[in-house]
Parts: sequence; C-alpha cells; structure tokens
Amino acid sequence: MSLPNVFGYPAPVWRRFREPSHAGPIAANGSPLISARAGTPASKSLIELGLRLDDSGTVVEARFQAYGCPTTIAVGEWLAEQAQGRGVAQWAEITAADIRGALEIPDDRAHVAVMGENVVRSVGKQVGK
Amino acid sequence: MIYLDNAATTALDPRVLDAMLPWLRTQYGNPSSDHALGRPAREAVEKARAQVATLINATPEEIIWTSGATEANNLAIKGALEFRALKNPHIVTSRIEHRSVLDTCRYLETRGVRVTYLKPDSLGRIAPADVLAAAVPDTALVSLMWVQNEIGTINEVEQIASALRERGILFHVDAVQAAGKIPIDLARTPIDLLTLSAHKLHGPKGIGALFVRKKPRARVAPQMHGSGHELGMRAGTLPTHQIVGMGEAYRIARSEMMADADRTGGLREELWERLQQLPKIHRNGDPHNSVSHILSVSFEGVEGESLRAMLPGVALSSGSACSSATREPSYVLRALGRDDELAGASLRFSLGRFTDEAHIRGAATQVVEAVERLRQLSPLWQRAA
Repeated sequence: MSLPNVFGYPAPVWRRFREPSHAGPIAANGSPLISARAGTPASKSLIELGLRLDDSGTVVEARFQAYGCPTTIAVGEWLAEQAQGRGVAQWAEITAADIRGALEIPDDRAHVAVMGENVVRSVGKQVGK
Repeated sequence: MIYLDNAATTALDPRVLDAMLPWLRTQYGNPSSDHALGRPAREAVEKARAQVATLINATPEEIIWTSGATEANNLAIKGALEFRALKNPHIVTSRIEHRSVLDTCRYLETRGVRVTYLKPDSLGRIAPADVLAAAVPDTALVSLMWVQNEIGTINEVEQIASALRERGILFHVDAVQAAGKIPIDLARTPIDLLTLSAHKLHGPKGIGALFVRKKPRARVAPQMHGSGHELGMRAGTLPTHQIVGMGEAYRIARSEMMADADRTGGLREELWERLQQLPKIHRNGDPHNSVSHILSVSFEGVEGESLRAMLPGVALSSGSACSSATREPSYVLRALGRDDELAGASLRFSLGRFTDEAHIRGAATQVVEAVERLRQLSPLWQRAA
C-alpha cells in the first residue's frame, strides 16, 4: 500500500512505518532467542525486539513490536533489518547516532534514536558485549 | 481524498461562488462610495446582511461584519468590557471554548480582568447552574459556545440566556458550529452578542459577523478604528464579494438546514456503527444532544500521531499533540476527563453538504484497518488481549 507522505516524515522513516517487513512477535521454537525492550516514560513509547541466533551468533530471524509515533515504529523496523543475517556482536555496536543518520531523524525526535540504542545495549549486555 | 473536516472549514458551495463572482469581476465598487458602482455594492451588502439576519431571526441592523469568527469573538469580549469600563470586571467562560475566546480571556487576565473557567461534565456540557453560581456582582460578561467544535455537544444556551437576562448579565455566544446546523431564534432567545462565520457552512473564508442586540441594546467599543463603518463598531472597507458569499451561504442554509442535518445525521450514525466493529473505542460528547455533523471518537491501544499518519487519504482532525499548534493533546478532550494518551488517540470526523455514503464507507474502512494494524504492532495491546 503506497500512500502519500503528506505529513512530511523523512523518507526512510515513512517507508518503514508504512511497510514494515519485520513486525510481530518472534515465535519460540527451541533455538536460542534474545529479546530486549526499551521505552521512553515521557511519551509512553516502547520498542521490543526479538532475535533468533544460530550457533555462530548470527541473527537468523529478527522481529520487532512497537507502540509509539511513526519514528518509533521505523526505528524498530530498522534495527530488525540491520540485525537480520548479521553477527549479533557486531550489530550490538549500533549507536543512536547511527540510527539518526540512517533514518534522517530530526532533533525533535532524537529521543527515539536513544530508545533504539537502549534496545541495542540491552541485547549487547545479554551477549556479553 | 475523503474530506471529513467540515468543522474546520467547508468547500465553497457552487451557488455561493456564482453569487460572489460578479462582485470580483465587474462590480468592484466600494460599498461606501456614492456613485454608479458603489450603490449596487451597498445594496448587495445590505441584502446579504438581511440574509444573515434571517437565519438567526434577528434584524439586519444587528449584524456587524467582521473578518471572521476570531475577530467577532475579540470584538464581543474586549469590546463589551471596554465599553462598560468596569473597575474590577469579571468574565465567566468555560475550559472548552475555542482558542479565540480562551486566548482573549487570557490576554484580558494580564490586564487585570478576573476570569472563571467553568469545567464541563464528561459529555462536554456546561451546567446552567454552574454558570449562575459563577456569576458575581462584578461579572460583566458570560461567553460560551453554542456547539462545542470538537465533540459537537449542544449547550443549553436558551436556558442560560434567560437566566442571565434576569440578572442583567451580558451574554456572548460563539455560534460558529451552530449557525446553519440547528435552529437559532434570537427573537426568542435573549442572547446579547453572537458570533457567526461563513466558511463553516459552505461560504467563503475571511468573512464573519457579530450579532449585537438592539433591544435591549448591547454595546461594544470598536477594536478596529477608521472611517466609522458598521455603525462605528468595526471600521474597514467592506469586502462585497465575501459578504455576498456569506449572505448566499446563509440563504441556502435556511432552506436546506433541516434536510442537510437529517442526511449528515444518518451518515454520522452509519460511520459510528461501522467503527464499532473495533473493540475499546469511545464516543466523545453527548450522543443525545449534539449536532448531526460531528463525531469524535477515541481509540484505545493506538498512539495518536501514528493513527493520524496511517490515514493520509482522509482529511480529518486529530487530537494528537503533533497536529496541534501547542504540541499538546486536545485540551477539550482532557477537560472531559480523557487522559493524555486517549485524548491524543482521537479523531474528529465532521460531515458537510457534500459528504456521501461512499466517503463514510471509505473512511470507516481506512480507520478500522489503521487501528487494527497499529494494535497488531503494539506489544502492549498484544499482552492486554
């Protein structure tokens, strides 16, 4: 469904908000899973991320769920995109600046990128980074 | 594009446009000029004044042209206070008035005026007893809207007007969402000052009017000074084409108001019925005493900005912070007791003369899809389910 970006969101945000391909909970099937969540109490936004790893630590499936503004949803989708097929240790080096740069997030939404970094850090702690 | 934002503004009725065009093309005389081009313009202005007066059962001499409702509200409130020149004046209004009333009152507070902001009940009604209880000997003016513009609730202004008249307190009513939507009879309802707009009922933008009662005479000091137009209450060259447009819009409204209301009322109920396939939604306002063209709904489990962004094909008003100039969720819905989250996740659908069943079906389908999609995406909703 392609609809006009009448509210002027950055194109990378709008695309991922409109057509997320990694949305939904990750199913438990016995293989190792990592899940992490982060929120912003001020706006009650929330991102939850689920990663399925293979034995070498590569992400074979990434899913996200989110409650919040379009930028929040786009950050969840972008983090899942970046994780898919990548070594989790390397992915866990993503920072808020990386997120802002990739999604062209403006200053007034910088807190959403920080929320994204908090999700990444939470995963990083779990994998020993 | 499905247009369901008729409480914000309406499409110009083609009949209104036709009435306006001659006054833009060849009949450009100044209505104040006494010559062959000025005199027809003056006649057109006075015909329109009579058309506006007729809709509200007033006399033409009681209609003062303004640039719109914001100016009319300013003229009514500031003008009435200035004319009376009380030492320690007091105003009664409500928390859910239009910004042009609230901000005028807040400005007056900086000048020493005391203002009581009445709290509505959960349906958006201002209790007449609360109005009377708030009035004190220094009360110079009560200002309330007839129809609340976000939720459509109709205030009991007839009852309030009679009670205030008995006490000799001036009563101003913002009737922008009422005029042409519900019957207004100022010969029977003792309102002193009444604000009107053209563009909310398929007339042009940039023109409005203030009704100023003749008997007993309500007085306002001019807020715009110049050449003494409009009985000395509002100076400025009269925009003939816009005034003619407002007159025509009011003439049409008088003959078609009841049919329009029946039709939009039916469509609104169809929209509400279709939306109710979604669980956990809330209708705002008084369903038993509201205008037929406004439906306000709050949706649990979705974030307001995302809800708005999911609906680029439907023009409507959102309660979300990002859609307001103040970056806060709707102050009206919060005053009714909705929390910030639910106030933000609210949509106002407002119907007009050109809304049809296809618009309603299309909008309902898009809103249902948007809410379901956002709820599926939300971990909070999934856990609560």
